[in-house]
Amino acid sequence: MTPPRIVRTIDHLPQRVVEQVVNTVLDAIDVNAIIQRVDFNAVIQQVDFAKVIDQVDLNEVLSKVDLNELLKNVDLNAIVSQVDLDELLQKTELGSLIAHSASSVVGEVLDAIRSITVGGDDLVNKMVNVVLRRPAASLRAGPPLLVPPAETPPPARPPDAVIQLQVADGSSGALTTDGPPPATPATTAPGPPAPVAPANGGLP
Amino acid sequence: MDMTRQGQYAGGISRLVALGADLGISWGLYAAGVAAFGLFYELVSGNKFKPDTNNVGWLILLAVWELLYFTLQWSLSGRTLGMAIFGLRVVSKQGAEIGVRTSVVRTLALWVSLVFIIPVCLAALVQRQRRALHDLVAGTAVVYNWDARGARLRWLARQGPPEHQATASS
Repeated sequence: MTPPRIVRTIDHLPQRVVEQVVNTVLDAIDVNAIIQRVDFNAVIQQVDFAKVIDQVDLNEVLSKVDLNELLKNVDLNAIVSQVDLDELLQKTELGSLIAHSASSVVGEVLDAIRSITVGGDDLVNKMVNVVLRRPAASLRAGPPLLVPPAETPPPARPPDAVIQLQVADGSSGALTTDGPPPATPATTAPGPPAPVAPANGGLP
Repeated sequence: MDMTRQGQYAGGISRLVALGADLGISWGLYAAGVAAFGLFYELVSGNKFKPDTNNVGWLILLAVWELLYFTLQWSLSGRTLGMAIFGLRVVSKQGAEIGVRTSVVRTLALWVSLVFIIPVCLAALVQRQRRALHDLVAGTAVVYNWDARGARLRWLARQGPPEHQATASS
């Protein structure tokens, strides 16, 4: 049996009163003004991030990360090019392993004579380029199928989300999640130094 | 510049030395073949084998042998013995492998280049892709086919760690 209408109205009355009061109060408050008076730096300093991180199940988070997708964005060539292989080989036993696996009298002789002739090639090419006043960079290194043309650098990334904060002392600043600040011109991230090839391929 | 050198246009010195090696190897093999034939002839007939060097037949045989030597090797692997020693390889001007027809054309044009070897070499040095007359005729190019960086790493590896060198020298 449904209660009489007057009873249902009385039941809903406190709810309606509260809603009305809250709306009236919120209309009267300038939330932006309140936020501007909050010292977010002080708030952040009071947060114990270590405790927050302790409560996060990183394994659970990592299980949801697509590492393949993540690695697609990583330039492994740039990372590997920064590794000093010469230093690595000289300081580790890796060098002797390679020597044992690849060394032979014939191989050594071939490496030596090839490096000599390549050194001669480079010398002659330089001389010809000087005589012809032809910049070496203007020459193609090899056939297009074997040596693809050098790629043009990708366009600079637009700045990501910018959060304007007005702190309590009146100063303001822009926090960017990543990328260059909005006022400064976009710059390309400096890449690793290009390897410089010795004239004879680095052989003695 | 790429340190591997693989796929880059080969220079004149490497190419010239490799050609010299190939001519030496092919003529050496030809002479060895003639000597072997002479030995066989003497064993079978009992007569002394005296090849007439003025005979046109020997010249034609030499030309056929040279054609086979270069054509077969270029069409099968893109390089001759001399080119393999010096780490070179023949490819099409785009960089693809070459076929039998291209190899034959290149070999025939090579003989023309050998007749005019000095101007052909000078022109190849000036040419932007260092392609000689026979390359231009056959639509080919010669590239490096060896890993210079790998060679350098092998050389470094043979030197060993610094403490090993110090121990060895003392």
